[in-house]
Amino acid sequence: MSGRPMLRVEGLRRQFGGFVAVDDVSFEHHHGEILGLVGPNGAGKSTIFNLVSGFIRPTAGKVEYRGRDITGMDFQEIARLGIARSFQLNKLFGGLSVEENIRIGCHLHEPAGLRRFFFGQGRRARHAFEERVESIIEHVGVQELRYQRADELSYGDQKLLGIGVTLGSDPDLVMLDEPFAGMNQTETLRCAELVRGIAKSGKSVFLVDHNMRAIMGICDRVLVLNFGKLVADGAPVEVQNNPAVIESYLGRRAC
Amino acid sequence: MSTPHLQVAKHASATSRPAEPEVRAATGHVKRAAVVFALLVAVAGPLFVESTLIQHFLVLIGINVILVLSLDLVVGMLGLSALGHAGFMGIGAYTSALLVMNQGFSFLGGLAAGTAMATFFGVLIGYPSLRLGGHFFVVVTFIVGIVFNLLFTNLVEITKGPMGLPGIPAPEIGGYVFQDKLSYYYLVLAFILLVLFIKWRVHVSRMGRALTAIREEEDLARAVGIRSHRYKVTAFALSTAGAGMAGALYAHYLRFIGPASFDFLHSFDLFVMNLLGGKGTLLGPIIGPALLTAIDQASQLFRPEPARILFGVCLILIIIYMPSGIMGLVRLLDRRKAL
Amino acid sequence: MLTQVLLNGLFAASLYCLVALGLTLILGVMDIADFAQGATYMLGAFVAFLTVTELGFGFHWALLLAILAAIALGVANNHFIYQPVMRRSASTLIAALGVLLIVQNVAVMVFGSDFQTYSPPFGTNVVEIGAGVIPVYKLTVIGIAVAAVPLVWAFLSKTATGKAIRAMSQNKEGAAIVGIGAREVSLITFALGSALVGLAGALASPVYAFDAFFGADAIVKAFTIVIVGGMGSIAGVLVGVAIIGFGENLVSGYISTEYSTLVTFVLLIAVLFLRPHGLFGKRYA
Repeated sequence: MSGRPMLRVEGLRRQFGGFVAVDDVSFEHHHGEILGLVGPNGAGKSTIFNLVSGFIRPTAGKVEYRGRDITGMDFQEIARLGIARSFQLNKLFGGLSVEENIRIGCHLHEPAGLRRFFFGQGRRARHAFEERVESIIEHVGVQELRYQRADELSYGDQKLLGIGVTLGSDPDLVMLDEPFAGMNQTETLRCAELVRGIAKSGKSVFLVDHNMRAIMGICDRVLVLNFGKLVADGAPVEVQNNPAVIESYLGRRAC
Repeated sequence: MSTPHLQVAKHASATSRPAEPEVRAATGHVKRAAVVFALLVAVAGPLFVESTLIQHFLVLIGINVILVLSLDLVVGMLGLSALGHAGFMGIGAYTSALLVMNQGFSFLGGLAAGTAMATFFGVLIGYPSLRLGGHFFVVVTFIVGIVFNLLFTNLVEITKGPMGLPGIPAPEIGGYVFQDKLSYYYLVLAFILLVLFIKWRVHVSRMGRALTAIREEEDLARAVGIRSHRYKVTAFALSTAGAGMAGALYAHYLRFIGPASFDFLHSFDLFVMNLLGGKGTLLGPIIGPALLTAIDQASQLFRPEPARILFGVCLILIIIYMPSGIMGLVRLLDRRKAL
Repeated sequence: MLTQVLLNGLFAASLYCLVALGLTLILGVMDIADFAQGATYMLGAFVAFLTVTELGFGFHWALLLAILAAIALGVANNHFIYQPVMRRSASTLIAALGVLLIVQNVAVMVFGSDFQTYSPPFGTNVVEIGAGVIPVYKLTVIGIAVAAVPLVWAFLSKTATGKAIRAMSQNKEGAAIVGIGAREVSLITFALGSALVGLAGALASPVYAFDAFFGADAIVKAFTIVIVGGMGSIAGVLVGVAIIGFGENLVSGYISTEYSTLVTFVLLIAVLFLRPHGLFGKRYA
């Protein structure tokens, strides 16, 4: 497990016309680690998130996952390799029930094939699949909402559902895009517990968020970004006392 | 918004298991009984029909059912508007007719070839156009339907042009010739059951779930690993296959086809039938044609204008007030009753 | 021969140009593919025809009445059909096709299904240009189209209302915050767009025999022009008109009429696959 990092980003760069959003960023993400990415507004966090998960292509640099070069790969294929991400604006299958949402999230593990198409998925395989769906529903804590339409849930519940969908493919790397955004105290604690639970089950988690307390509280390591460049990379305690970090936040309005 | 859902939720938090499964089990029995009854009517009913005119309508309704069932794979399951379905029907019709008449193909061979040809064009057109957004896809299908029609009209050496192609032989399977309307009805019914079976399988399979996901939120679907383009092209190919199959059945029934049978108005009519019956359902594509084919045919016998106006008004009213069609209303009533 | 073909092409291109201007305006500002403008085109033709033959008025009155009728139809269509459809996030394109079908068939019931013809103003007077000959009337039409383009462009970029319309097309919410009414903008957009299309129909009516389905063809081709040139772009319309308007006449002049339409459509599909936002258009949001 140690040795080769699960995710390795090298010299990542992304330009939009003349504007450099991400400038020569390199970092590693190890198995089972909860890695946080923070930075002032406009620092380039979302861009890095989208670059790693394959939603946009880098101008330069490399992204390696489990030793395999995934730079510029379609996000659909990256998802099939074991990296799953949630969405900041919380995309869900609005007209479908909570249960259906998670069931679709588990698509990659659903019994498939032409014979199954015509003759059914088979009781045992089906049962195993439904158990997987059920376990995610319970893990995320939306059992009581299972038949409700996704677009009728409260904001906090929708975020939990979003994480549930992300977990469906049983990814090795779970990327959460601002999971704490818009949550109150209770919801934040609940979500933090969920994230810890995900890491405990053997997955690696990559988090982007503005909620400093939450990030520092649950992350094993934190990356700080400012103006597209990495300003710090270390344990929460180190990063919090890093003068360069403090300067980036004082120089702009802190979140 | 829709209060039924909120009410279910209130109960859900009070008890550990919400009411839905029991409700579903109860209506399941009623539904199963209704399906069996409908099947009996469909199989035995026409035996008692003496009027050849009604038999004629039944055959045409049947062919339209196949067309709309296949159209619904795109309109209902993928949520995309497709306005060129009649064009693919024409491809199936002409291919089958010409191969049977000029190359000595058997009826089933011609049907298979017609289906294959339509599928081939479906993949050819679908592959690039399904990469585009919904708006563009509609326009492409619209244009393609018109282009096919232009080809049917202008490739006179092959299709005999606007004068049409007469003398298409009746189907012969294993020595039996389907000469009369009643026997043709049963032939069509057999194919309806086949298409219905496949459509049902799509609905309940992993593929159906993937298509629904793509329809609801394609980016999210792809983010969970669903290869959306592949599924979309497959659905479109199946849809055009059904159109081709219906076209062949149509050609060998009327024994005469012309480009006018496969024009934009027909694609439009099929689309309206789909919406009226209820897109994304199994029964909707049966109800729509059942109701509108009669009007469609009457419009061809008498003055077409009132029927066309009716179709247009129907369409607009549906998309504003009843977007889920008749089946949508049925489900809404179903749910209200359950509470 | 070539000059003659080009002169004929120029007349057809002028008509397409006016229609495409109207369509691209509605498409660019309201994001609606208004196929129902086919009905507006036809209405313009019939109103002009009836004004001249039944009411006995001069052709300028015919044009004026045709434009007014077109505006009425376009604005009513937007208010009663498109707005409700958009409020429910349904497809305006499908609704437009429905409206087109309805209006066309109502026209058949009202006007009959015969083709109508009448003689254009300026009679049979012609002008010689190079090796070709062109009727004075057609030359006037070309002049009107040529004048219309800069006028519309000036309206959009110089007047306050025009700028408001452009602001709307780029950012609905931003425009609303600044106080630009969505309702006024949609009203003016449809009025102007429909006026252009109705004018084109009226101008076309003395030259072509027309019936209730007049304009269906022209609309499809005009949309092709709009898409090829780039939606929402006036420069795109000009380029599109040049390619399609002339191209079609060249093909029909030198090859055959049937295949000219085919060529247009194949071109359209090629553009959709290779460069969906057209040659000059903005990225479709």
